[in-house]
Amino acid sequence: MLDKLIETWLSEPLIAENIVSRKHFPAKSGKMFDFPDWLHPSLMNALRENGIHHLYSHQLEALQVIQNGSHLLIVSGIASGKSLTYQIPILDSFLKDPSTCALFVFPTKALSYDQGEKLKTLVSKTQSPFTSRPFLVSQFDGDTPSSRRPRIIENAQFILTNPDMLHQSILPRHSRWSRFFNDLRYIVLDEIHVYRGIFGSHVANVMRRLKRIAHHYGAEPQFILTTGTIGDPDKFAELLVEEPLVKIEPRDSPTLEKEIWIYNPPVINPDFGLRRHPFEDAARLVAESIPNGTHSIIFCRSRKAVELLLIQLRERFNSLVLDVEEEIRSYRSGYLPALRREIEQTLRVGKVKCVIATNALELGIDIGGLDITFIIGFPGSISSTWQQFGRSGRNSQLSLGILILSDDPLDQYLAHHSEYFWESNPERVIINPDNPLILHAHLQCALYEVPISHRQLVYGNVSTELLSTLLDSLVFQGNAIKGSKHYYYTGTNAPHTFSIRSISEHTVQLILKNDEQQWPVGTVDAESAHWMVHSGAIYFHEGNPYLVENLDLERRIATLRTCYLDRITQPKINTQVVFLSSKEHQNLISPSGFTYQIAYGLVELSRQVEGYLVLDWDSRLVKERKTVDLPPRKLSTTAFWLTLSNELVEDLRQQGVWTNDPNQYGSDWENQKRLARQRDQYLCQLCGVPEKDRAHHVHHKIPFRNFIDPTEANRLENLITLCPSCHHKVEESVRIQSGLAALGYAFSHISPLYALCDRQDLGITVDPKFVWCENQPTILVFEQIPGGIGLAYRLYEIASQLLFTIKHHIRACSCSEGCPSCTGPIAANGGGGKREALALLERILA
Amino acid sequence: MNELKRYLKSLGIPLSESEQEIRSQYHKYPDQVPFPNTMTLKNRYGKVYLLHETIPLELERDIDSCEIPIEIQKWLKLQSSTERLAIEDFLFIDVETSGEYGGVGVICFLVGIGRITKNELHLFQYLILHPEDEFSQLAELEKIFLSAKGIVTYNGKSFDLPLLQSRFQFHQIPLPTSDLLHIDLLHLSRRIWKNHLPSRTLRAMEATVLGIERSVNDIPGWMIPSIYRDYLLSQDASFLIPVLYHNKMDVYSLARLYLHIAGLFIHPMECTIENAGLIFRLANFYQSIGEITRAIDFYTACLPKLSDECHRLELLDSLGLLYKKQKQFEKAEETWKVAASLGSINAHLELAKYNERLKKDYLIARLWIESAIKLLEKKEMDRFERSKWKAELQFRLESLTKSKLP
Repeated sequence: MLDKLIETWLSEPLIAENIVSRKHFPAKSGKMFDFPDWLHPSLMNALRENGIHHLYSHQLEALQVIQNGSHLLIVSGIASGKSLTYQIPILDSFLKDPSTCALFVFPTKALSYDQGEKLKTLVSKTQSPFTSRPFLVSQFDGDTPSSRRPRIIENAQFILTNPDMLHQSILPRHSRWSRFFNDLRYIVLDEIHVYRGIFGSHVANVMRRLKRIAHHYGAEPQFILTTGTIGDPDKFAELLVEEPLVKIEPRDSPTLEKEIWIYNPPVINPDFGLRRHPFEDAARLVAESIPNGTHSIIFCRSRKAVELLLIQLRERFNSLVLDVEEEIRSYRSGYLPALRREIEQTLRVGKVKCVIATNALELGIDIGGLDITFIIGFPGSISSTWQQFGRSGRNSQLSLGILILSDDPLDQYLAHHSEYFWESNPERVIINPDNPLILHAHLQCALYEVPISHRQLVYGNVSTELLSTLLDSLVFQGNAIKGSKHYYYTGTNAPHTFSIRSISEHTVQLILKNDEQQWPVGTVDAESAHWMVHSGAIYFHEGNPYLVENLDLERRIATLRTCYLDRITQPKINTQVVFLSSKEHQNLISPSGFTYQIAYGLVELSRQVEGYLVLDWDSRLVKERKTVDLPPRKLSTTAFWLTLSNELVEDLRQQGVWTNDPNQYGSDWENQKRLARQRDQYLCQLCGVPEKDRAHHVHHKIPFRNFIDPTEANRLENLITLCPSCHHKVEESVRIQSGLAALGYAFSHISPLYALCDRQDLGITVDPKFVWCENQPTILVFEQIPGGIGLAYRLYEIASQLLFTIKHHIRACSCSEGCPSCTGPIAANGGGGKREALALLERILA
Repeated sequence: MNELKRYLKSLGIPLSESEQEIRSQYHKYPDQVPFPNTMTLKNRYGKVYLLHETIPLELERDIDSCEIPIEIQKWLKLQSSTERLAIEDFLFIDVETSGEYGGVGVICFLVGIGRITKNELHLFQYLILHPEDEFSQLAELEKIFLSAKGIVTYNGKSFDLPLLQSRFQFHQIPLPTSDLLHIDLLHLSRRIWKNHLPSRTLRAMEATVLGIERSVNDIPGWMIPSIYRDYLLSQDASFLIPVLYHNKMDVYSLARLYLHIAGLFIHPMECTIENAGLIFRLANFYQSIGEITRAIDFYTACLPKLSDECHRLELLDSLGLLYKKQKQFEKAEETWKVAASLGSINAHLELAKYNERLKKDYLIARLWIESAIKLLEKKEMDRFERSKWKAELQFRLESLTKSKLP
């Protein structure tokens, strides 16, 4: 039925002409093998009962690798029966030696729950006296009630947990788990590609601690790792667990037939180059697919987008499906666990025709068979995109993936250079387990857990010099003593109270209040609460609007009331640097005589929700502007920055390669502006809204910068009246990137490779007149972790090398004006800053 | 300073300037141990300091037998065995730890163990002056635990015992404590004193119940981990003197509290003659361990002395229930009638059930229900309780009217 639908769509010009690129991946049937005869008979029976009669070659290979005692890395392909690949060897070994214990570590609780249920089902079918033991397979995480915990600790042999729980509960109390550790044979780390950057560096240290404890109890567990699509998975995996791994790629496993489209919504306003909103196209395609009996998933980039699209789809499909509430659903973080389980369940049984989700469904939670994946807006990474496309496909049937592009510059770049998407390798995952500050924190935990012998100074693969220096530092601080044989922890506080995730773990509870009752509807992370549930905000939950009555930050509670769907709110957020102080700096002179400064120091950024706009639901016009009284959220961290000097800027300006100066619109500008508004009858020429308390903007159809003479640019024919929000939309497609911004983009791209972190771990601000540096143009790279963990200092130390690399990288890139892999994507009708960025770097470096 | 150190320092990791300083921080044993009566036990794993002291116990009253009172045995849910359970076979235990948190990095650097013989307390304190000696300490403790039948602690069920066990598990020594009986006096005191003491910490108990006063040498328990840390960093063992005193007093109080409670059970009337409240709670306790006759005696004994109306009602309700259990229905009826006259809805209900089921006097039964319903309207109570009573009374009334009455 899907192939018919695809045929219809391809023959329909209004759809087909928007497909900028498509690829077909043919089906490949995998080789099947009989169960090896040494496999435990109960397990064979259980597998058969689950409908599995053969093994794929990679599953057989995995069994052999485990049998040989090697560590294993499973690189996942689409639909390769990944969980079975590790479940079979572990269960086989358990049935042959019923004391076998195994630890399963998942990046999220949802995934561990999902996998736990599957494992329990398989175990229960083995019909063995050992598998009926109570608590044999148990989830153990923050949601496990404390009344159950002692019995799990006493009895469980298959523990499903997450790295946070290992770090904060299991490892520091390992003596209670001595039975489990004594017999620990396998450690499964599922979906390791999630452990990127700082988080991944922490997880690698949790693994080091885990291995020490296993060793303490005389266990030498085998590692089994699985990963989604990433670049160089084996290098990363070996860094994560510090063991040689045998890599298995499911080459011979069946690949489902798949069709992938890159779809660019059409321009609906040629004058301004405005495209149709991707929601419109998604809605239309879903509307045509549902009557065909297909099931689909739509990935959106934000929680709010999920809700808004849900409302739009439900309104539209009222007549199309039997029960919109049941058949079209949403899924995202912030829903209560019970609701999420319920949605997962209805997805599995196929009740849901279409689910709209954030990347919360990107990981391998079983959601049954889906036919189509829609991705609205490029998710930001190639590997994420493939991961999301991988969510559709079932039982040897054709599936379809459609990436619907937004008007974001990166998306539009992909529209015009689709080869970038097809040909780029998935991103590599970068971690640095030896980051001194991360190491310093985990070393104290390790010391607390098992004293470190100083004759055999070993902690992971950390060099003896670094290790002994850090231990001496702990002794110096009084947090450790050095005995005749070991170092011991002597701090009076427990060392493992820090979080290994960079995002705050605090959440705000959302309480729905009626006249009589109140009950929890969901949660929002503390970081987002300010802008999502400030008082007066309209918050959407499963497509229903709620008015936030009050946000109590102290008690972490937001009180909601039901309300009508007549408006929507938009927060106004002010982000700025509120403090900067350099700890070290260098004034440098380039070979060509220009001065610039590099510095490293403390920075404080403030992000404050100052107010919000109330927009009418139907027209999306501003009805009201309101202020809110919320404290700023501050991030105190460390930063690296590069500041240019006046003479350098002056030189660039004279060579015409400096576009950061504000436009001098000329003496007739004010008058021309008034005339244009008068001519356009004070109406926005795009959406038709009249001026109210503020004057509309006047926009240059051909960008001002393209003219030499201001009066030429300001001719009335080149001017048009637009309301602020339309103006913003229009500007998006004609934006001209400055050289400074282009260099900033390149910085954000290259810095993580040198700081050994993820792109999300660093933030960047580019300011042509940075007040904290005497109004000089500055690029500031800051760490996203409060206090920083030395990433900024590292950048400062290798600044000249970093600048050289950036220059080489930009120059070597074959694009002409800029692209996502060098100085950033260029707006569809705008201009890139590649040439200016190169000019700038040349003056600094040569 | 080398490259690495400079780098670490610029990241804010504190480092000593001189190599010398680090080397001098090598931990040694203190040159002198400033505690009297100290023996050094050396085994092949290391050394333990053992402090021994004999403390006379001034008994409040004559306890001629050192047998553990039957009430406590029943409370421990022991099957009545022929084996005589003597307090001499029990260890009074209190541990001091190196951290507040119950994780695996916390050690019990000091374990105080008391044994009662006749009217003396023999105190043994097992102290280690370096974490490296923990294994040898546990080896000594293992011997003692294996020689005992049980332990007495204060909150040991949630604190001292799990901590000790986790240390044995850490060193992979089979638990020597798993067969031991455990009298946790915190739990027992809660039963006996309920809400009648402002605080049920051991310190509060010893001050209010036993009248023990500690000297100025004592320190609050929460300071102990940081004192031990101060000792480790300075290697000056005199820091530990107040900790040893604190531990000694804890074990001493523990023994005294046990004897006090045992005394209550052995000579109950004598100890409690002036305290009607205590008799009442003892009666409660007897009831809970199934000593019905004793409970009835105690309830009846304190009935005339109780001044508090609420308690009197509670007492009458309990007493009625016990008579009912013993099938002394006339006495039960009498008790319920007194309680009903004082406004007990429960007694009304019991009287109704009694009349309905045993006397088959349905009219009277209905009268009791109706009067209870009226009473409920007037009485002050929380919403939940009211609706619970209301439902129950309504149900009784309906079933009576439907089946038994015209």
